Amino acid sequence: MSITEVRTEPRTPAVKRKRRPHLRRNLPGYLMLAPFLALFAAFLVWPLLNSLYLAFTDFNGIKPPNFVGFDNFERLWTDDARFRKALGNTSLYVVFSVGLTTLLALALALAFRTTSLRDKTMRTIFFLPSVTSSMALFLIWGWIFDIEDFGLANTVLSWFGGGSVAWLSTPELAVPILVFISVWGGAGYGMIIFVAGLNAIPEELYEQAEIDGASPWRKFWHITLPLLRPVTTYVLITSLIGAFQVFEAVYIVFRTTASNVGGVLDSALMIVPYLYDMGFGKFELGFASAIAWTLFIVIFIVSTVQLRLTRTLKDL
Amino acid sequence: MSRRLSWGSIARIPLYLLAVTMLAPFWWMVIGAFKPVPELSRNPPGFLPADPSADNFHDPAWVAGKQIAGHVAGLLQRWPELPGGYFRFMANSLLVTTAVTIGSLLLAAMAAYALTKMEIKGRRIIFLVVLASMMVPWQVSLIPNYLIVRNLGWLDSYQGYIVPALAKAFVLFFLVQYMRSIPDELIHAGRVDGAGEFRIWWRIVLPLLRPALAAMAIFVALAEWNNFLWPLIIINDDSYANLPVALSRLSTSIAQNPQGMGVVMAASLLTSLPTVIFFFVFQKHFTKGITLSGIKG
Amino acid sequence: MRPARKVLRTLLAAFSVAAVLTVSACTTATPQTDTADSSEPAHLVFWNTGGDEEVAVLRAVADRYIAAHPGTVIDIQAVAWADSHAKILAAATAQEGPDVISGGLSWGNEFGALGGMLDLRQFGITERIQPMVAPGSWHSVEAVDGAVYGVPMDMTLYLFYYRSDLLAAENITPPATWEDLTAAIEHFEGKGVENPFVMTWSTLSWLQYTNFLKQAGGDWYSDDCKTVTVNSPEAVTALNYWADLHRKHGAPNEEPDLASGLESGDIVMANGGNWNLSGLDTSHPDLAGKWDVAVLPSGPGGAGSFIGGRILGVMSYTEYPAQAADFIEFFYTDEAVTALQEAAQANGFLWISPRAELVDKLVTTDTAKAALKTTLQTAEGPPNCPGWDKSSPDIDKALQEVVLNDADPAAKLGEIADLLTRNLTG
Repeated sequence: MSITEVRTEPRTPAVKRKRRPHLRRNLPGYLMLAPFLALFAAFLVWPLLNSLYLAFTDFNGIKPPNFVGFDNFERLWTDDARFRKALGNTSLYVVFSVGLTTLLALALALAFRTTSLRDKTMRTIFFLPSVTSSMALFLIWGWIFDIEDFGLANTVLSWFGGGSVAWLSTPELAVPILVFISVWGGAGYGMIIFVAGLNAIPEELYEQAEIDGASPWRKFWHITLPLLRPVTTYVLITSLIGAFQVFEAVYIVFRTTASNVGGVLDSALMIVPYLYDMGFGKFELGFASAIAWTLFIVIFIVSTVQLRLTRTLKDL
Repeated sequence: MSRRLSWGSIARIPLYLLAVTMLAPFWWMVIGAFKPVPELSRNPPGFLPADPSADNFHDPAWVAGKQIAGHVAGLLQRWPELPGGYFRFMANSLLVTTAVTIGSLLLAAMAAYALTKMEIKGRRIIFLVVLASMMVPWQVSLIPNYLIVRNLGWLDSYQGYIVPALAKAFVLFFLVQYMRSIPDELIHAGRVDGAGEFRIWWRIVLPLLRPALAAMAIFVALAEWNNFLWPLIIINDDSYANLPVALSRLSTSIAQNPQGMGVVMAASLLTSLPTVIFFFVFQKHFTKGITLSGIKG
Repeated sequence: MRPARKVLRTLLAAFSVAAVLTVSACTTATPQTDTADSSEPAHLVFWNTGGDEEVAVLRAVADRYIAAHPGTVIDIQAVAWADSHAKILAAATAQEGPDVISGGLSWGNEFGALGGMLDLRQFGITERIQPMVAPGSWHSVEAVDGAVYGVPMDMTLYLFYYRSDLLAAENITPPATWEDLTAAIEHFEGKGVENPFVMTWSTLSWLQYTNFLKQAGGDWYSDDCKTVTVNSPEAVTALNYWADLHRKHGAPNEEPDLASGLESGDIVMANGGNWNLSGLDTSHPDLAGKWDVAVLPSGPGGAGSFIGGRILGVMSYTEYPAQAADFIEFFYTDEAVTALQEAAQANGFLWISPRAELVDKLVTTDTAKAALKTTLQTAEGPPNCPGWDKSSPDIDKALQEVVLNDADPAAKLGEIADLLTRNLTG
């Protein structure tokens, strides 16, 4: 900008002068943002809002929807035993699946964090499930837990002297089996992230602690854990959100037991399978939308609580 | 010093045992794929096929339309009306996965750059909305999305698969975090040199983003490879079906009948191969990407 | 930012959300399609709920229909049972997809009541078809108000399978009553067989229980669907007997593989669907001559069992309603039934047409034919009363609680009755 320009425009309003150069300067930015934003709006935002609307209707998929106010939510929260069962199962599943996966992932990371061939091999072995087709894996698990004597699970059980078990149709075993499958499949991914976090902790801190005479346990508790906090939070939150949304494991592994999604006595019923069953099995798409938004509220509350907890722990 | 080593070694033993548990299902799948029909229901089951055969892939003794004791249609003999049979499904999966991976990464990379390195009005709100959308289970949008795709005439098409999958909130979130580690000075230097924003993005930013992109590529590719419910609803024509849908149909038509489980295992094996190979090839990039970003927290 | 601008921004955001919601409300309404003239050659898309192997069989029928109606094109696609309901719903919602579908017996009423499928009475075919169809099957597909949204395509019946050689060796005749069955089971338990009797084709669900309910003389609803009758003493008897089969005699809670079980002798007797008839000998040649079938044992109320099967229906958005109905009616012609049975036979399975008198023509053993005919006389399909489908998961749960957790049968049946009554009107 030359001196002459300043003199000839002494009193241009500040707002007006800023707007045009802003757009011109940042037009490429808007253009680069546009494709993502347009598709995001069309296929994520609009459908979400549409489903929010549907949650307050009695939409059954075929006839036009009628507004019913809070009826769906009222029914869901006060008068639905299946939902309570699903909520209970899901909560149990989330707690154990996320907890055990994180612990195992951390243990694996601590054990196999170097670049030695042994450690690299072990890491690959544990990470293998994460890169294998999930459909294939669930089918294999269904086959392993088959009721017949020649199923792998029953064969292993017979080595320890046990008789054959009807794994998938025994209500008490449903959630544990799902937790097992989840930990088996998820520990590897968490391990990789923890390894990255561990390797980012500067060696000097440990050396200093050694000089000060700290035991391995103290080093772990006072150096490793606190510095792993961001990584741990990341692993916890993402596993949490993912675990709440469990669907395919239930739908495929428990497909052959009982005629409903969720197995015998709804023992494997989780929130999303219930949503699917209500929406596509029973035509209650409005109700199913209410379930989905309820799930959102649950996830939201749990993640907020978890974040607050982490913050409070940090200050302790 | 030596005391510490042995403690660690002892502590590792249960984990070595666990590694066996990790591999067991894979082993079961592989041997199941190569066990002939009579062996599949043998009790106790063998941990090695006593009579390994490729019958589950192609059984020369099986004849279409007849039930023969001990022989079922091999995986490659099924879907006779579909050119290529099983391989058509694999081709569909490969095509869609590649398109979605490349497309979504490009879109998110552009958007992340715009949001973090340029002055976009309302970028905080946009970011928050993207973040919030990650928490709502996507199954909610299933029917509305189906209606949109249908109104566009995209049922039974590749566009129906690909386009709705291109805007990935998680990828944007991840890349935005990563972008913060790219120094603004580099961008300014580029601007001072007179380069347009797109050139800066392409020449300077993208190469720096490579580890993050690699990490996201694996993540997105895996998710798309495993995508089941959405293709199930929008694809009715077999020639567009992807592997999970085909596998699901195969398994229900066999319905846990031990005779056919070998074919299901064979299909599972073939379906697992591409992603495992992909991982092994790009392993280094992936771990590097996680390393550089996971700590940012 | 200046306050006015902030307010404006919030208003704009709120307005956009409201606009989106309103527009989404409008666009969720389903569009109308025009129907073609009924004399035009049709292009029909037919989704068959079942396995891929059935496509060849249906193709035989379709080709014959095309021969009689030149210019028609019929595309047949198999859809797996597990996915079919969801896919048909998606099609009905989008008003686009197949013209003709086959699906579960109750799906016609389900989709029809919501306007997703056409009432076939308008084409006049129901009057012609009804006399040909076994009454037990027809009753299930007819809605309470008389509408018929789907007509039976085939039937599946329960049969009692048993190891004839093992029974003969013990001088036991195939059980004809519940008492006979219990005696036979206990006899084999004494000989060391853990679970001599299993129940396949739906374990631990209302479907299997219906067999025993009918055999005890009970029923779910009254014939006119006005009252729920399942909380009766007969139902309690049936529930106790059925539950004991699991609790006391170890019938598995999950469906085992019938063929290998029979072959090894782990399974001596079983309830199963008629589809096993064709598969057993071919897949397990060692079984040849060692097994046979009979009618399900009768209970205190006589004989009774469940008919399964599929219906054929026409989706409401189709462009060729008349031709679709015509194609469906073709399934009942002698020509089509022969073609179906032959093609099924060639592909290794049995096809039981809903035309009851044709059971004799099936290619199977005489005992099987006799058993099928007798069973057909007393077999009935699922209830056609409103609210039935909605209630079935909760019914399953209540029944499972009796079997697995020793819940009180009368109390649980009372709960079921309450639920069914509520859903009758709800």
